[in-house]
Amino acid sequence: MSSPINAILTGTFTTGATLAPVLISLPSGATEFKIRNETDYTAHAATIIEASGQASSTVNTARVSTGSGANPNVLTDTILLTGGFTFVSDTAGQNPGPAIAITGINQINHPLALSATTGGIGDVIRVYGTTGMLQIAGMDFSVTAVNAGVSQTLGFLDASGFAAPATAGFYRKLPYQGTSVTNPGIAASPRYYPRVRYITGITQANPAVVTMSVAHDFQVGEKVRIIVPPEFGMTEINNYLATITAIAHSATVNTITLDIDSTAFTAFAFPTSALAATGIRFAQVVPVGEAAINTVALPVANSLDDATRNASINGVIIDTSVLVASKTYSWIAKKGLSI
Amino acid sequence: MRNMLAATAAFANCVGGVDGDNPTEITRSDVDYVVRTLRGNNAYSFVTGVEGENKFGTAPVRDAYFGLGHTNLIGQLDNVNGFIQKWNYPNQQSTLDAEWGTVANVRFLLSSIGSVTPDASMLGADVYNIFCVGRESYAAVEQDGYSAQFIYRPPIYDGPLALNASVGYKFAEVPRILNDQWLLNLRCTLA
Repeated sequence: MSSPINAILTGTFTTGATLAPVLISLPSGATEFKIRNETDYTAHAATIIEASGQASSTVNTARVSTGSGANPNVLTDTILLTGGFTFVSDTAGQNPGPAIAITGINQINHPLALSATTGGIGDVIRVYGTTGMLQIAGMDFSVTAVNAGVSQTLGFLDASGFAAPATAGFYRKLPYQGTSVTNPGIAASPRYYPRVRYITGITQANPAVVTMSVAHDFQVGEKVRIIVPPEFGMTEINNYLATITAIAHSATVNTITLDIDSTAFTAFAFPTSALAATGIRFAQVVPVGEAAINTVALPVANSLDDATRNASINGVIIDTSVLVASKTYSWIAKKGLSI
Repeated sequence: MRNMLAATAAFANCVGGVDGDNPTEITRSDVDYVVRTLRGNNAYSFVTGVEGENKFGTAPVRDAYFGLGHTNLIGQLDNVNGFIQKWNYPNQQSTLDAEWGTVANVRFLLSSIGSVTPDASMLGADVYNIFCVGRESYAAVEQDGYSAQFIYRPPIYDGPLALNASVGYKFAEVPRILNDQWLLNLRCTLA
């Protein structure tokens, strides 16, 4: 004899004007998940009104009900084999996607990684196995623009100083990274917040401005340590403990401003591809502590509060294919088991 | 703890090897770099040394930091110049079950759930993270004194018919890096 136990969780969310995947945290997991477009439900719209997925089904599938637009609205069911629901047991899992060939990376500011298979804006990709440009091989980059089927822009890298372009290589998409370049956000982050990031540039200025290869989630007031190996030039800044005085995000800017005057420092520059082939250490920003009050005047009220916040979740990722922009959704998650 | 260190700790690639990748396989010069860095930052050793004894085939062991790595590093570590296998310590009283051996001032503890970053090397190989840590460089802070609990309820307590047992765990604690300069993630590939 056994007793069934069923748990039901509910909630709501609103999609933005630009669609992005939605991550719903469900600490206990779910066996079934369903969303309803509440905005269009009573408006008789010819949009996807409801969608549901089951954990036992193939990953990223969904059953969607699309309205006819008539009054009363007639719903037609369709099975989506991609672009549906992905049930995630733990976003700390870091296994990248399949290897995808790159046919070249431009030798310009904000270079294009050319490939026949492209992802979406906000994806984080790991570039490796390049022919040429070995100084960035093994690094992770945010994709800041996409020309579908042609190229992805590595918006936070200036490769114009490199001696030659890459003529081949591979990339893999990293799971559960950001969904937005301009607002990476803690909720979209895997593992721990904030994370160590690769440096792709440091200005010779007062104050120094540091660019990182992946959209960062640092905040003003946080303490970071700057590590710059000798191969990257600006060794004077190596091991500096600095406070973040400003941050910036856009499709071409991903920076933190530090309370450091680097005017007289040696210029930051990537090593040559040939040197990288012999083995190099990378320049990086290491999170150290938080300004609990988040002001420059009172930057470190509790130096242990940040740098170690676990942002991993169990839950469901809702793909954009079952969503409509600027709508309010309700969701219901069901979990059942027998004991 | 493992994921926290992998996500937030400073890292250094092994560059002394000859496998043609970046990072390379682990070598003595890479371990020396770690020791030099931690010593230079005044990190405390985790364990005291093991004094030499008049036993055949043994060698004294230096006071050491811990290097926390994956069991796939077995064989790789054995090839590092100056490696002393655990069984070659003068005595076994201070060794740990997970310990594999020591190089210079780092004693390596290996686990099958050690940290690996997939496909992250220059050539796309898996990168093994070896967290080289000094004493009190990191900690697990219990929330409200709520330490980890492993809970086993035998059948007689788990249901009226005593048919099923249950096992679970719960904890409310957070990992913290206490001093970012007292630990370093040494990244390497396999030769």
